[in-house]
Amino acid sequence: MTKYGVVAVGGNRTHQESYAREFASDPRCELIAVADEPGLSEYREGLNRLLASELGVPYLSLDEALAREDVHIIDNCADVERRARVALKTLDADKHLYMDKPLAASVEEAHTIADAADTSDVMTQMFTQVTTSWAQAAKSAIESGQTGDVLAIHCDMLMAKGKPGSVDPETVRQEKPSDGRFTHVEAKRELFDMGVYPIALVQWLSGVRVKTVYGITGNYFFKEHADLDIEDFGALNLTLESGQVASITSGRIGFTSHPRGGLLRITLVGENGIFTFSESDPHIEIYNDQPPFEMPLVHPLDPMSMWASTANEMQHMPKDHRMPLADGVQGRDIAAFVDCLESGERPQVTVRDAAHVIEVIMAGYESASAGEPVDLR
Amino acid sequence: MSVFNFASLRNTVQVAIEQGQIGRPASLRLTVHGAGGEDNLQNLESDVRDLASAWFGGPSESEYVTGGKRGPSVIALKWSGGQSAILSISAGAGRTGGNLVLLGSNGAIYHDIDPVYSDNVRVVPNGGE
Repeated sequence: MTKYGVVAVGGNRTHQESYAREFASDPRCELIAVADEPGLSEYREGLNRLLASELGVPYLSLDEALAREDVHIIDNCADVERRARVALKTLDADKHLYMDKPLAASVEEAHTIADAADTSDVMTQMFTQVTTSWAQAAKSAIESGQTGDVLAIHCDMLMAKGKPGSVDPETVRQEKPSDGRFTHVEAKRELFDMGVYPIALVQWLSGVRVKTVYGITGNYFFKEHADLDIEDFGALNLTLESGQVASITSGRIGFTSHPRGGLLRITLVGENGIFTFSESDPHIEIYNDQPPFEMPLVHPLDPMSMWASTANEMQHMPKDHRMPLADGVQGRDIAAFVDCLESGERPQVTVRDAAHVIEVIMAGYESASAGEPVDLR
Repeated sequence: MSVFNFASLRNTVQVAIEQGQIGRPASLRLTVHGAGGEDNLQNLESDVRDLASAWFGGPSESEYVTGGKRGPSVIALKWSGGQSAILSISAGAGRTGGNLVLLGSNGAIYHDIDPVYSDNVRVVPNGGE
């Protein structure tokens, strides 16, 4: 069997904590190294080296990794402000590119990556939820004709993490166009980081581009977001080029505001009525004498509980009283990418698709700033 | 009055809000598909707007609507205190029902508007479902 050599760019307290381990566990792949650009902060390089140590692989410079013939895939979890630079170097080196989400920190960077990928012979994919059992069920319902012609698509991604209720209730968010800064220790921009999932689902399910975006953002739950002047919630009202309507909600709502990890849901309205597909439905509910879920202690370097490593340190209690019946609710995004490398089939969400998601997100910020809909060009 | 009777839902959620179970109501996501034609659609929209106004303490400050004209519509509402709602409303053939999420500052309310559970859906006297 041909093995794909994989280099993971990034480290702990990025999604590389899970992606690198997934690549390493795929028998078709071999994790060669963790790597990154030179000149990083001590914080970032230290966490990169820590991941390399945990995985038992060397830590290399990005250029050194790209020069190796036994490296076929770059798994890019560089901070989003550097993500485009790493992606372009990867494509220039003719390595397959697996991207963390969102694709880039600006529309211009996203287009540059997509244009470079279009002129290369390599495969690209961005991490999304399209391989999950519930998303696949929604797609199947459309393709089989169960829904009839789809008239509206509504998708939600509300992450149940962080300790809510800390924001000043008088806070009224005034949005402004993106300043290009997305990486903070305390919190993330949630329309950007969570909104990418439902927007990608709308695009994937409909197969068409978004035409018009109306955005709303809020500071509803967390002082950390408000202090950084970034939103903890975002919603978009969309019109697609096909004339269909769509909407998304996205955000971080707090550990105790959902019985599982959060609300991940697709609702389709078609000629045959309404159809709902969710991460946790159908499910069983369990009531017993075990203690109920308790709010975890807050990690000082990850108050929003973004990363598995810090969650492990704080010994989060499991949320296991509501269990979905379906297998595969977590998806198999990385395995699906490797499948495409083997088969030559186009990945379901390429960097070209992902670039459109960035267009929609940035239009959402622009719209929320102005209070007016924004037409995508 | 639409096919769905939202009175018990409105009251029950209102009690939960007044008990402080979700903190300050912040954002409503409500998607519903009812049976019938344009008349039902208008009634459904009116009922759903009433729910949002009740839970956020009054009418919204601004709104943006897409769709409509017999097809599904999506209504985005904002209140002067920063609260928001996305109301997705349609009526027509096939399965009816929907879902609701009311996010509060430190809690959330979820509800499936499911015709299987007749407590939340009733048949209007002149037919409907």
